[in-house]
Amino acid sequence: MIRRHVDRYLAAYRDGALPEDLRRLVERHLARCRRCRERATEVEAGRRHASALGGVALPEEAEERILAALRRAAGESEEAAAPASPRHAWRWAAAATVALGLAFLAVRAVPDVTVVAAGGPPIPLEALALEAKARFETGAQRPEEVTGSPAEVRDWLEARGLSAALADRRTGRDRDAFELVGASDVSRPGMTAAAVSYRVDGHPVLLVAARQDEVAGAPRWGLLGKRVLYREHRGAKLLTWTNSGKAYTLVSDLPGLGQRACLLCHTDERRRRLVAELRPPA
Amino acid sequence: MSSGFFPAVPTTDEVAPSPAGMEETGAPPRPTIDGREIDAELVAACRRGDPKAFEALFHATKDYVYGVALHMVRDESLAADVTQEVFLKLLRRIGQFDGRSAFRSWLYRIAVNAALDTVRRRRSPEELEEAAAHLLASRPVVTPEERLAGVDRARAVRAAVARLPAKLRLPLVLRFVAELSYGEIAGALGLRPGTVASRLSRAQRRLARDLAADPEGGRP
Repeated sequence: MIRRHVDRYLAAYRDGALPEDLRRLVERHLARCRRCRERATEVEAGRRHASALGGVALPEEAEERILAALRRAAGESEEAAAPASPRHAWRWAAAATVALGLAFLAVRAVPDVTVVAAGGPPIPLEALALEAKARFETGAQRPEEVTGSPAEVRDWLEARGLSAALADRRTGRDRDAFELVGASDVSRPGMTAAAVSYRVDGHPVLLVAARQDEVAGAPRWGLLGKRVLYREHRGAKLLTWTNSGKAYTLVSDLPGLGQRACLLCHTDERRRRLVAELRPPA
Repeated sequence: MSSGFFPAVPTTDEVAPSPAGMEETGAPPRPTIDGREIDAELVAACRRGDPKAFEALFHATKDYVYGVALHMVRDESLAADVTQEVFLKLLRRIGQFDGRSAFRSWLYRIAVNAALDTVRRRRSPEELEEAAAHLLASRPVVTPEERLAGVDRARAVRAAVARLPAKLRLPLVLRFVAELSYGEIAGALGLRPGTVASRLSRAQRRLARDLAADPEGGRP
């Protein structure tokens, strides 16, 4: 009887994607086949490498362009839906104009953002952010990656399967107001997390990023757009949200909701306006 | 006993080859909007033409779609173009989604096809090789500190993935960038789940050997 090797099942075996009966077969085979054990080691190494692939973010300029194109396409489809009869053409032209306007208003270049009051004790990510803030302020922890380059910090985050769309360029009025200090690993068991340290208008700011599936209680997007949790804790302002599978908490003592720190990533005028217009939860 | 994902388990220790016609298994959809599990209600709202719902869908999935495109076309500008094409197609076609496959499989099928079309349309094989070589050659000098911090590793991994043949690179990218399940990858690529599993094993092994031979990914 020819005994076949289990190469083709090794990735699925490692990922827990095999049905139980086949998993046991593979396990028994690995126990007695050194060749397949060596290959399983290779598969595991490849898996670890591939885990660094995630965390890519669509550049903001491209996002704006795409949303504008979608808006135009939505408006064009409203026009195309109008019938061609000349008899009532003027009515359909008026209706199409209204539809275009509604489509324009509805499909905006930026998502709606709703600030909601955080209730109960801090969620794990907020607690992590507060602890990290305290460690950095007392000097108990210093940034591991000390750099003023947003691109280097983005690469550093990407290497950890995280991401943050830190802005590369700033307009004159903001150029000196935002100072990147560095980044640090602040992971704890069960939560891969990183903190990016900034000074905004001279105030220390921490942006903590983690994987959303490892953060209990992180606010999810609703049909109305992005939801941001707001919490005050002993003078610190915390803003927490999720985006593309990541969860973020900004912690600072900046005025208002601390929302000026959102400009770490958002520099275009529409988003700046949105950030400035954020209101505390009712 | 057959799970539907893999063939019925033989009673001997001999591992049987996977037969044709295997069905895809999958867990029931979980209601969330984070790009990984798309809420059926959100999809239904998009199909009704709700622009806010489509916008929410865009924001939930744009980075995943861009990431997949980037690893396939290996050019940031082209990847952004592909991403735009994907969402425009989605806008036009979402009314046609009949729910028989997982939504994410359908979405990433559009993304993969758009990326492949872009590669074929805009790049000759020579241009592709030149782009890959440029990707490798354009790596800045990495300081020992950066190497310790893993920046070099991330770049080396991206370059190694770019060197994989497309039939191995595609399932790897869909698994680790788009975070699809084996069943969803099978749906997106029109493959059997067993084939997806086999290609993922081969891709991960090649990645490991490539990076073990050249950890900094400096060779073309």
